[in-house]
Amino acid sequence: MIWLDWLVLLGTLLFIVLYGTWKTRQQRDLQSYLLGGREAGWLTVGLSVMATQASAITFLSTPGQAFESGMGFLQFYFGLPLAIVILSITFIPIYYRLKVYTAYEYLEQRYDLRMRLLTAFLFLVQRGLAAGITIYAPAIVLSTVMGWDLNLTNIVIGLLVIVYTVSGGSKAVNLTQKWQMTVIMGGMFLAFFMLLKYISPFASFGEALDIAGFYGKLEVVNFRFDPNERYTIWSGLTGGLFLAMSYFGTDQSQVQRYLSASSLKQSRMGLIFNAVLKIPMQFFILFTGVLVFVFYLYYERPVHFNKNHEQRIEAAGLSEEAGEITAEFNQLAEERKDLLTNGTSLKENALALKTIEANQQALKDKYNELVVKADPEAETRDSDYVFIRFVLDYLPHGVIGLLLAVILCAAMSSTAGELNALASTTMVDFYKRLNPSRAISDAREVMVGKFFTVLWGVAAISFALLARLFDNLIELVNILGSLFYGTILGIFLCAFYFKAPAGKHVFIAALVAETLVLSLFFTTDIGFLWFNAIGCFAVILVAYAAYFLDRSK
Amino acid sequence: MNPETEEDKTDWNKVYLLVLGFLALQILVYALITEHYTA
Repeated sequence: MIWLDWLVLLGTLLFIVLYGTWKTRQQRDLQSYLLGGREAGWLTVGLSVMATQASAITFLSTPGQAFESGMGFLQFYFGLPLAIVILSITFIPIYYRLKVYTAYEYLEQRYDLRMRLLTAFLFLVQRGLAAGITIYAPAIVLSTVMGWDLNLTNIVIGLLVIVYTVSGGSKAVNLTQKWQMTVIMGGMFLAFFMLLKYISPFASFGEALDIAGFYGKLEVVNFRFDPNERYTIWSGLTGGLFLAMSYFGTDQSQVQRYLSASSLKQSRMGLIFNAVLKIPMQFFILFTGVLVFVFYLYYERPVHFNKNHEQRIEAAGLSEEAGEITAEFNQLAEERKDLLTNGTSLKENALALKTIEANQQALKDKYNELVVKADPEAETRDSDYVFIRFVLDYLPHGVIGLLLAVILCAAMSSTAGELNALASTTMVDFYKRLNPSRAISDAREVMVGKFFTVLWGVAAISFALLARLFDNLIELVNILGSLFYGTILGIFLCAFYFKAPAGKHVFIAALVAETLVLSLFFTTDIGFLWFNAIGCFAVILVAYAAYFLDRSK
Repeated sequence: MNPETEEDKTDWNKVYLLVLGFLALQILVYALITEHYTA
């Protein structure tokens, strides 16, 4: 990083933070603070929904995932347009008619206070932890590759978000997210075109596709029916549908985004915007990862993308062995480059290329063994580091600063949406609901709202600071989401569509379904996406069983 | 604008059909890409 990168990075971030804070500095009442005065247009809502969902890890991990395993992850999003259509028809008109601030308010109107508090509590726990990870996940990668202090990175990201989220509330979140999405997409397009430019002396676009296909990176759709395979068209269309319905329909961090629209029509259009663009956007990010893969067939590629491991190996006195592995790895890379550029076809060289690939993988496994020998606690998976390492090693100065801004903007935009939602739920579902007799002025309500935003911001930073103490925490929190989402969705589906079971039946069903999902999680190998569907159906079935049992008494 | 009063003449059924049609088209294109590039 040179001064130009710092200028672009800090200039972009500070401009967005200061602009958002300045433009939204006066919030008079709770509606304007929590829902931005309900005056956002569809484009603002659409971008805000998109920015809340796309966290930094989307831009760090997704290209790395395509680099390693191809584009199959795209299927995860196939259920999303279906979910949005269902929500637009059913959930959203009801939220508008009842003029709710949070999704959980509806559950009290439909059932009882107990149900509202249970679901709001589940949301706070899950989203509060997730907000910490939203900060921690990019901070750990950036601190590793940039040599930044991890704690300081966590604190800076968290504080920047707190500044404008506390000051301007929902409106500031919407406004900054629009700019952040512009920076994110601009940066990603630039990286994409730079990749095409770097590859072009060696292969045309069509040849690059052929090569990616040869290495199995373009297997987008998988029609095999195997519940243990994580991404297939079936798990995407069903598990993905339930996950998206739960996320967009019942997670306050999303509900709050579209409830800030000026009308039902604008809300729906904002969501339809996502239904249309989300899959192409993910395709584009994954495809960028595939191009990074093709790029590294022609340019020098590290054996391991996490540079810190080199220091670990050196400190453990294993440099000589690592050097031998690297030399052999590079030799194979040269041989492959010759085969790819000598004018012969892929078909003719198929066997040789596959052998080289297998040998390189064996060398990488050997290198990983050295890493573990040097530090038994070290993480050997390096897919999160692929894209950022490419950016830092090969992109020109200025663009590096912009791409780092992309990652930090993404971290900030999703954290802001989360803090805003956590504060709203605490304020509306707990503070105001449990103190109904306390009459306070609009100004004081806004103050309390701001206080809760700061509180959740500090909690998220603290959790991010503690996260390094736990192993595999990121994965755990991601899976945690799927373990609870199915049950929450089941509760909402009962509330919307199944009139017979009463609050007490659904309450029991929610507890039973959650126990079932957790037992399956601990005792089987079912892909985690399926838990969304299982939890949801379990709530509905058990609620009916409890209802009929109750009636027959 | 008031959510209760804003006039909405959108034919939402048509919009939803277009969204689902676009999804089907995308899956078809991705399946063709998979078919073409997977040996």
